[in-house]
Amino acid sequence: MRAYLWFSIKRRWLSIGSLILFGLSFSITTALFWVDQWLPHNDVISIQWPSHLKEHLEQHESIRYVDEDGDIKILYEAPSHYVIQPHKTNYPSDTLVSMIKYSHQRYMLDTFSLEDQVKIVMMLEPQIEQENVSSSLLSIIVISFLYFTLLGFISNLSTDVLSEKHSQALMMILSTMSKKRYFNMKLLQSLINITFQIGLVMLGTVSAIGIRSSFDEGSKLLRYIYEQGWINHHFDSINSIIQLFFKEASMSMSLVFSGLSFFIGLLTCMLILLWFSLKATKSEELAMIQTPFYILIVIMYYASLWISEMQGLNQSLGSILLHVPILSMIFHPLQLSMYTIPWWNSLLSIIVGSFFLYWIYLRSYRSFYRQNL
Amino acid sequence: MLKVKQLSKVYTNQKGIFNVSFECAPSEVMGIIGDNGSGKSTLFKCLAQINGYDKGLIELNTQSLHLKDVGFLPEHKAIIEELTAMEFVELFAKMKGCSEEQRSISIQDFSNSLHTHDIMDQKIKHLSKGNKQKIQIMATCIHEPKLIILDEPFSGLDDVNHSHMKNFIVSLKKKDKIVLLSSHRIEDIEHVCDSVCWIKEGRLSEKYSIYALKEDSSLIHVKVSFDPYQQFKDEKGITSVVNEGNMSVYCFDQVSQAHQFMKLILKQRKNQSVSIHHQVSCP
Repeated sequence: MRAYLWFSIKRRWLSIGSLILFGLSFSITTALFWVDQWLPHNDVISIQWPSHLKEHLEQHESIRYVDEDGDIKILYEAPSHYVIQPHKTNYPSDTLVSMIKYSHQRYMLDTFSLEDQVKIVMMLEPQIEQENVSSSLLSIIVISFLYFTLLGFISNLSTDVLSEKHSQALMMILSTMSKKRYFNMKLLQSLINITFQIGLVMLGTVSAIGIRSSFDEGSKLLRYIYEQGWINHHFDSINSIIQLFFKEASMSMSLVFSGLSFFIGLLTCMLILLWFSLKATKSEELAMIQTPFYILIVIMYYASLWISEMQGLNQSLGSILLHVPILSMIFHPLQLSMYTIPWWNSLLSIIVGSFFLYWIYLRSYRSFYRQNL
Repeated sequence: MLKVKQLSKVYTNQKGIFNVSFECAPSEVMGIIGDNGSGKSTLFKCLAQINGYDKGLIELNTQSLHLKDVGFLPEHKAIIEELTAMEFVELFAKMKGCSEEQRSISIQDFSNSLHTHDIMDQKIKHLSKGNKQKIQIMATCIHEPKLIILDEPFSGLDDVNHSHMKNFIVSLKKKDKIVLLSSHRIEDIEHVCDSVCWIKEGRLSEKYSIYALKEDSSLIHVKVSFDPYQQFKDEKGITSVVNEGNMSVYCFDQVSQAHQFMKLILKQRKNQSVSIHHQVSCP
């Protein structure tokens, strides 16, 4: 068993395709860590706030930023369009609007000559929009990345088993080991492949972080992503984030629960896909079986975003979906990244997911065992 | 001794094998002859434990058959093309639990029998069909199983490779292995087999000694049960017919004609208990 496992893993990774993939993912990761250098910066307009308002703002965590001088920074994205981050500020909106208008007019007038200023002064009415740019944007980006990577992972097991079945190699292999052993070995092999792939991505990420840290400790990057609203807090350096992570036990717990949820969901999806794919007798049929499954997963993904947009993930529907197998794979990490979930809730979700995974394992193995080669 | 009793495997389309029984002694090479879809491969896959079976018993030396006791060569080429011949054989040797020493001796031994010394370091994708077949049979037998099942081993081989394969099977016989092999035609395997069976629509005939078939073809007698009125006496190739109770004994002077006759009987009497015998004088 070990010989074949080792052979399969070598076969998967020691190929030109894999090396190219790794090189590509490393390049993309490195590029992402220099995003502040190649993406355009937003213009920042400073509004001087009255001191009594500064205190008021500081009491409301939802206001994004109040600096030491009492200036609130409001992003200026395009002429006549302002984004106030984050959403749900209960600051008196009339005051806010009048301040933005004033600030906007000053900003615009400065960009025109004196002759033109009179002509355009009437056009300087800004469009005020309180956009729901959630503080969880970065989480959504990370989860999206994991989720779409998942699409590539889940077909590994079924494609592997079916290619061996169709190339007849499976018959030779099954003359050396039982069907159960082969099935378990393939499952283990897929898990090792996924872990290895995630490990490679993490290695690439750590390298990219190292390169960026040696440049300016990531301070400009962190400032940029903070200004974009992708993170909630402003960090001075990458090192300070790492330190925070080790200090905060809840963050570590969230990561462990998220990882477990993701792995359980991933295995469940892989086994379900294998279960259905075993019905295919030709490779053409395989595509026909797998495509609807992928569509379903993408629908699931957008549905979760929609729920998040409509009512917040920790509301009624979101909290129910946290415990639904497969769906918990995405809802769990998303919720953990945004809210504090009671540990027993996370544990319950993982237990339910594990039982479901075991049931799917039995079903898919039975289906594989009954296959006539 | 390999004993197969009342082995049945029925697919959802009602095809498969039905109540197959036979015995095979060590050093015996037994051929199973049948058309496409007759049940040869199904029988072999059940014996190799690749597919489960609905009922029946398979025993080797009075014990249940274990995977390590079986070497199975599938009908279609089951080769991992990107490996070299040596890597492929070694992979299967490791999977079958051979020690490094045993691997090295067996590879040397089989390379001599199959004349594969020159191709062991080549990528399998660059090998000819015949050489691929040789490599696959090496991988099948590398762990020295007691029972070797070869599904159409001569298919697509040229004369030289045919001869190498034949010698290899004879060498297995000398090692006291039980060898089961299949073919569409008796002419392909008669030179290596000790005995043959015919299979049609999942039903296996009784075993016939190949020596008798080859020595004196005029001694081929096919006994058909429940045939007191010599129902098939007008069929092609019959030299004489005699009655034995409610059974008719049809005599042939050519193996191929007897083969055709047996096929006809199996086809026409598939739903009845048919007993076909071959009376021979062994040399």
